[in-house]
Amino acid sequence: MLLVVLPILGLSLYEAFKQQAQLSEKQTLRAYSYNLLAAIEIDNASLVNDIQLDAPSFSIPDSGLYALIRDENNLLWHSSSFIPKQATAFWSQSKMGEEVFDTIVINNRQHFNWQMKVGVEQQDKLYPFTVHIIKSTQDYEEQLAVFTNTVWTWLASLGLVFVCLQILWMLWFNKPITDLSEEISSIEKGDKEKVSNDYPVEITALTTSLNRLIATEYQQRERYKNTLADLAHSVKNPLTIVMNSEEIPQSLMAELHKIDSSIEHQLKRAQGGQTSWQSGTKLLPIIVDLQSGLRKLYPDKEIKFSNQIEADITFFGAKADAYEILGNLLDNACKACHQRISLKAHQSNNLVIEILDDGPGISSDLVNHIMQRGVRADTYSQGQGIGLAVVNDLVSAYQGELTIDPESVLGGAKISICFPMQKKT
Amino acid sequence: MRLLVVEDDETLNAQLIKAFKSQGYAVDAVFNGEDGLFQLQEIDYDAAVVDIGLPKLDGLALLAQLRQQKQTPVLLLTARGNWQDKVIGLNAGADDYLAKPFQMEELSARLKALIRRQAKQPNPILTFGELKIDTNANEVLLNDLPVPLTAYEFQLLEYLIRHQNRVISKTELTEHLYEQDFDRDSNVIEVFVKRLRNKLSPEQADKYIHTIRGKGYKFKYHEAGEY
Repeated sequence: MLLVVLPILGLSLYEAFKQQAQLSEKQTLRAYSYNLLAAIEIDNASLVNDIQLDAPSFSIPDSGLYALIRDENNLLWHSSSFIPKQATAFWSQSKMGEEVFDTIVINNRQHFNWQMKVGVEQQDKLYPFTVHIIKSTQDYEEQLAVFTNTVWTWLASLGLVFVCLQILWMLWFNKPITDLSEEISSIEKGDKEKVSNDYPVEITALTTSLNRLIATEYQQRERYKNTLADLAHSVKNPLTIVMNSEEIPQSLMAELHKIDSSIEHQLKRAQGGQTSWQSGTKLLPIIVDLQSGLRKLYPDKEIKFSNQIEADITFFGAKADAYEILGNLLDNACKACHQRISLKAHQSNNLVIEILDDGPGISSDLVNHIMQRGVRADTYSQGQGIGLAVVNDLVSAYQGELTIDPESVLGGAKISICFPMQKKT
Repeated sequence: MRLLVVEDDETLNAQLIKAFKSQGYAVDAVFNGEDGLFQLQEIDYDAAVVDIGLPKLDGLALLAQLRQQKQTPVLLLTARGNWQDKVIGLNAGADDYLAKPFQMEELSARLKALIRRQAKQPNPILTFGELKIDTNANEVLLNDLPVPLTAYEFQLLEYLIRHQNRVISKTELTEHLYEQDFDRDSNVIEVFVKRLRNKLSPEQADKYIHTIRGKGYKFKYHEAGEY
């Protein structure tokens, strides 16, 4: 819009000024002509050459302001400013009494030409002359150039100011939406817990509903977690007592372990997985936490962890699930390794985590068994398999994929997990 | 070795006491967090088994307060077996973590490992010339022949070995070998030490256990020709 209106405005102003300047030039030349016409005298049927004009420029040679008198074929008189270099005979003639204003080229330069054919009467005889007042267009062009520069500079400034105002207006107008979008992004990343209340009335209803949704989701999750913890407590204490009772025969022990595995498995399944509102969890603090805990559990190995993970890598899921997945994988690696464990994570469209160790690796049979579809985690016996099966269950709940390479560059196993559509925000 | 059990479930608490006592430990037991913290602050236990879900003061809060004063090895027991809770427990100052339900053998093995780590003796079998002590099996071998020791004698020997080259007073030994409500008589320790010396080296009484007059006892073993 601005790109169309401003040039049109500029051109209109230019044209108006140009016409006004030309009119002004025409009136100036006409005013000079009065002085010349008044000075024309006929003596003995010929023009008296002693014509004196008031404007000094008529006396300065090549000054750009000239006065000429001619008949149809010959130049009869010219001001001393005019140095004739070309014939004037082919200049246009006008009708008697008719005023002509146009441009002509003299010495390759543009000039304004005002001319009029007049008749001077003497002794009942009419002597016709054409009177010319000619002025160089240089002043006019300079004036026009100054005007053009000024107009375009002002219009450009106006355009710039207008664009700035429009941007500022748009920013101000869109600010609540931009702020809301940033706040939602912060909540998704786990940096904030709820949307603030500083919004215009128009979108307060939206932010209130959003906060209610987040709060309900959180409360539901907490209630669920506490109920499950209470359930775990009420079941696991008696189970411990039964398992350690002298009256329980060893033959029942395997069944008791199955009950325990089944409870644990179902509890983790109930807690894990995606929910309707998925806030983000930064992985690095969880990894640091886990590794610090695992160093305590395996003090004799003096494990060296090497992490290649950026601080902003985010898992879009429950924090407890991130702990469970990484805790099981790192614990398995601690059990298997001699001393070195490497963890790499990168996030583009997907979130990919790899854990390598320098242990003996995993047998292909175990890998095949774990990866077999439909095999439930609680059917595994104790050892590395059970942790991996729990991880497999949880990763599947996020539509992710677990890959196990029996060997890696460090010598031991390489476990990779890939969560799709977990792009950084 | 003297242990503290902090568990609110009375049946489980009793089970733990029974199991630990059968292994020769001196065991004190309380049923809530406040009592547990008080006991741990007052007495130098060799290790403590603390449940997380305790009345009055939960296991994690107990641990946080204890760690401001003491580094007594603590094994946490919990019904929550997930990694988030494990890490919270470990980073709060626990030395190990065991999820319920567990079998007493596993708890016992972990506790022993904890005590070994605290004494900076990670190997469960300790060798001093012809004397070998298997702390996992509670067994002592002399020239590869088993030495019949009572539970108290074994605990006395283990405590001295865990703190070898340090003078241990009779009071400290009494505190670590007997429960709180035991009628303490320092003469009993002298009797145990005498019996232990007879069983380990009848021909040279102070081969392993030296008497430091007026102070107590010290376990110190010299290789042949080291004197």
